[in-house]
Amino acid sequence: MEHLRRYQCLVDDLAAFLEAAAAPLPKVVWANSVRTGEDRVAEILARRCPQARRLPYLDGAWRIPPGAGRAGKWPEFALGLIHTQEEVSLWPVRILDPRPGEAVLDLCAAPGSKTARIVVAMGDGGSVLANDKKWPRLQGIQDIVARMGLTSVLACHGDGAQLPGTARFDRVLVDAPCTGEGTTRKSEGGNRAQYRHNDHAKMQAIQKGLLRRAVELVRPGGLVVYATCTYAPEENEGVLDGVYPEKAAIEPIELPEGITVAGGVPEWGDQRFRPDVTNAIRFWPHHNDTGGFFVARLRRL
Amino acid sequence: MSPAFAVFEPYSDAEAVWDYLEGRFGMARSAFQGYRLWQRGRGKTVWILPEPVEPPADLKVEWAGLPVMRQPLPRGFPTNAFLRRFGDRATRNVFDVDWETALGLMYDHQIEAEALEAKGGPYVIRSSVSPLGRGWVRKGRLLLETPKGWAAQLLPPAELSELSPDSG
Ligand SMILES: C[S@@+](CC[C@H](N)C(=O)[O-])C[C@H]1O[C@@H](n2cnc3c(N)ncnc32)[C@H](O)[C@@H]1O
Repeated sequence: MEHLRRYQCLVDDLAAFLEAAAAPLPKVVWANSVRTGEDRVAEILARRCPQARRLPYLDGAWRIPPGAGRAGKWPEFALGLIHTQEEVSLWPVRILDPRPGEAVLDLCAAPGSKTARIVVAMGDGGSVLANDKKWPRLQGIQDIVARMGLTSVLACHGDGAQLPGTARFDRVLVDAPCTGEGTTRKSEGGNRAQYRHNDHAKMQAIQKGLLRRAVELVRPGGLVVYATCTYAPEENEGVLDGVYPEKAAIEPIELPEGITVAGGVPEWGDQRFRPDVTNAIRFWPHHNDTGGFFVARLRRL
Repeated sequence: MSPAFAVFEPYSDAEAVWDYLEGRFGMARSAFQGYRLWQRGRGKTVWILPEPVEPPADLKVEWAGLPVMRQPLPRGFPTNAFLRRFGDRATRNVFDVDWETALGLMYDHQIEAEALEAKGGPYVIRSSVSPLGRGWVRKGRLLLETPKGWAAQLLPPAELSELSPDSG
């Protein structure tokens, strides 16, 4: 975890952060309400994992302590009644706030967990265009969609920065490729690697291209959510800084009581960012016992 | 100019599919109001999408919605995914099984059911928890078609703390 010390001046409690970043991660099971009721899923959980706790602030979602129940192997998972994710991954979709009947673009969609969460939030009525650069990874999206029995996903592949089309989407999610510093708690091998400054810079170029295209593809008044699972300001505030400040404003994000986040930082090193980056939010692992994430919500002007 | 790739178009034989679903499974046509069937180019798969979604023509869409059939009628039959989603609407050619039997089918593919008069298929197999998917009857046995490697992806039965949802 040594490489995370570079965030010493961003985080409120370095020791607590480093300790949490190494601790095993709880999982979340959520109900596929297109296929079943939340009360049915509550019954399933009572049977399979009595330690599961309902999350009051996320729809149809329960937290499972680390190691308690392998929900991805339950028959109800195979039948598509539930899905599993890490808790912090549910926030970008909740902040995107998709509504039934809307047209949504998920620009970096594979393996498709957020796509599925978007579709379920929309009651499977609307359309979600799920794009990923890597063609073989579309299969993962198809597996989730078919297992859960969702009808409203369309898939395409290609560099999201070059995705053809017009400004026709109500909402766009950019769950960008990143250095993954926030995933150190994942048992299945999150990213514990040391990064060089160079890697953040390389990622930033890709991320800017993706965010720029997202802003171009959303209709006026529509929303873009930019998210990464990394702490580095180069890949977060630094990306927002350079992209269409005149076309898209970063909005404040309202969160329920009990969820603690830090705001985006106005500067890093010798760089000062556009002032509205402070409306973005950073999830630190020790605040809500989750993985690390960064989320910004932009309104197309 | 026509695009360099096949685009999705409304499925020309949609009526035949709706008639088949009604005839074979008693799924009322009205139960699918709000959905349309689609096909990509000369592809064989029939897809279902909610109205008023139309796959865009200005980019190459690899797949759209849920596959209903992998080949056209009369040889085609509904996919597992379609029957798991919409099997609740079936009123004929359905096997309703208890959860224990459902688990048996999921882990072992088949159950012996003596005096099973039904033949052939496809059938919808359902449990109280969810439709399970597509079934066939072979030599007096009911078979659930499970995806390849499914049983191996499930927790070993001994590790499932099982209290029957039917009894409790
Ligand atoms: C953080 S993951 C997305 C996770 C996904 N949203 C989910 O919730 O399951 C980032 C994805 O971006 C894809 N990617 C990388 N470069 C891309 C590009 N230029 N355009 C579109 N997708 C890209 C990667 O293949 C990877 O699947």
